[in-house]
Amino acid sequence: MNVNIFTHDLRGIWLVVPDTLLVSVAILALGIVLGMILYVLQQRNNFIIRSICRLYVSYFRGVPLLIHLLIFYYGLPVVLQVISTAFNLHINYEHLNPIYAVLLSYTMYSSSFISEIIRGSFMSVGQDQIEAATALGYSRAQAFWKIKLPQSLNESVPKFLNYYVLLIRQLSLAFMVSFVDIFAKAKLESAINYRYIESFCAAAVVYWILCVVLTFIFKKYENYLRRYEKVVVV
Amino acid sequence: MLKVDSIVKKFGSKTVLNGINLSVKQGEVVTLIGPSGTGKTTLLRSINLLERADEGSVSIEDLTVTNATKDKKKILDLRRKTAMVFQQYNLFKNLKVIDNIIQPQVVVKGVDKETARRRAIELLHQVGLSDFADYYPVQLSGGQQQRVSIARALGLDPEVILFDEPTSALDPELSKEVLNVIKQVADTGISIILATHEMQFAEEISDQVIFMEKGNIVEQGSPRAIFHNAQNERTREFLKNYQQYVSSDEKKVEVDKFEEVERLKVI
Ligand SMILES: Nc1ncnc2c1ncn2[C@@H]1O[C@H](COP(=O)(O)OP(=O)(O)OP(=O)(O)O)[C@@H](O)[C@H]1O
Ligand SMILES: [Mg+2]
Repeated sequence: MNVNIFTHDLRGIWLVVPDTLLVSVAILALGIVLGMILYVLQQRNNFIIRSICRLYVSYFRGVPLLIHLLIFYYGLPVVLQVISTAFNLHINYEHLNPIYAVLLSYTMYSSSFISEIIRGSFMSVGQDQIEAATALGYSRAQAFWKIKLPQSLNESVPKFLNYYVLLIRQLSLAFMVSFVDIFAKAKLESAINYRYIESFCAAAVVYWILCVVLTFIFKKYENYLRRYEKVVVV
Repeated sequence: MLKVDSIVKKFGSKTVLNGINLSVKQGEVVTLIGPSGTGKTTLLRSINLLERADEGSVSIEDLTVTNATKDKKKILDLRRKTAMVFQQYNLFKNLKVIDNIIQPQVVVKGVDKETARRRAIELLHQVGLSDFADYYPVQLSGGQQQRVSIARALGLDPEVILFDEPTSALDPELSKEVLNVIKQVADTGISIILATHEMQFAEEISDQVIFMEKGNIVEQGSPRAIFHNAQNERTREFLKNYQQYVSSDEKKVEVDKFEEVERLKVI
């Protein structure tokens, strides 16, 4: 192990950290939007809509993320080609940025988990809370916006943040479609000089630091959100 | 002022309320007593429409909601003339004590926040919890939580407050502070319907006592008439059994205390 190569690799890898964090944020945000839609559709009493949702969830959960990624990577240009010839549009589908495949596959995959987080967080709001609001004269909408949503957010936001830390690590699969995240950068660094151990150790250190720091911050935030559930001795 | 007219409520094939009539005058305190499972809670919940009756109607002043009423606005309006105090307090757990009293005023009555806050401070003072404004509900004892929930109800200036066994989750010491607050509320001239197992308190506070059994009103009258001169055999029996039940319950508390002391010794 050569320390100079290690620090050199470390510096190189730090450069892609902002992109990795940013893409993970985008995936999380899109995943929450899609997960919310999925949750709302699942609450409908329509058999067909619910069956489609169930199919969607079971497909995206049942197939490994890597496969989704590759299907989107190779499938997206084909779909775009069909669309652009059908509508006579001029879409450049041959040199598509891999980020689109990454965003789509990760978002859809995540949404199937996130809709469950949302469902669980709404279910965690006690019936007694809603009943108290109703009994005091809150309308259904008021009870939702003033009581149910705030309480369920305090439950779900920490879970979203945990999922975010997971996403950062899962993004390492995206090197398969030549998206450069922390892991992909480490691979590139090592390919230059065949010093694998240095660059992967550097990647490990970066992942580890990110994980520890983010988890620490998120935990503090979670404790803040849940402050009303703790008995604080005064 | 409040009138309940031949309310019938069924859960599945089970008739829980079997044609209940009830009227409450302005400022009157009405207590519901009767064995467990008799329908006291269901009656209170039907009055503020948490449960919709299968037959009959509820009126407060000039507003009437029957089993057939679909108009959401009307239902909400009637509900807003009542406020409910639950056995398990049901405070909003994510809100501080003061916000538990402010928010309903803002949401339900459209009061501006500053006015609501001033009112909340007054109410907290009234229930003896001025020092606890910035606490969260879990940080309070059961008795304190129940007093907050009474303050929360009062903030809405309801025509009538419905109390569903407000002290049965509390031990006697804590019950007393809650009962004192309820007594204060009664003195302000607000109408009260109270389901309770605290017979002594019922006798002290009520203008009208209603003995219910199996979804029917068996007997009703002044506290004197019910507790000392009941006409109905069932009423007398209930009160007699009740006395026994209470005294054996007290014994049980003593035993628990004894065990507690023993346990502490061991530790
Ligand atoms: N949501 C419900 N579904 C089915 N049955 C119910 C429901 N709520 C109440 N019941 C039944 O209705 C009956 C009356 O219940 P209720 O809670 O009104 O009695 P209660 O007089 O308040 O009793 P307690 O003194 O124990 O509080 C009981 O037999 C109960 O099992
Ligand atoms: Mg009850």
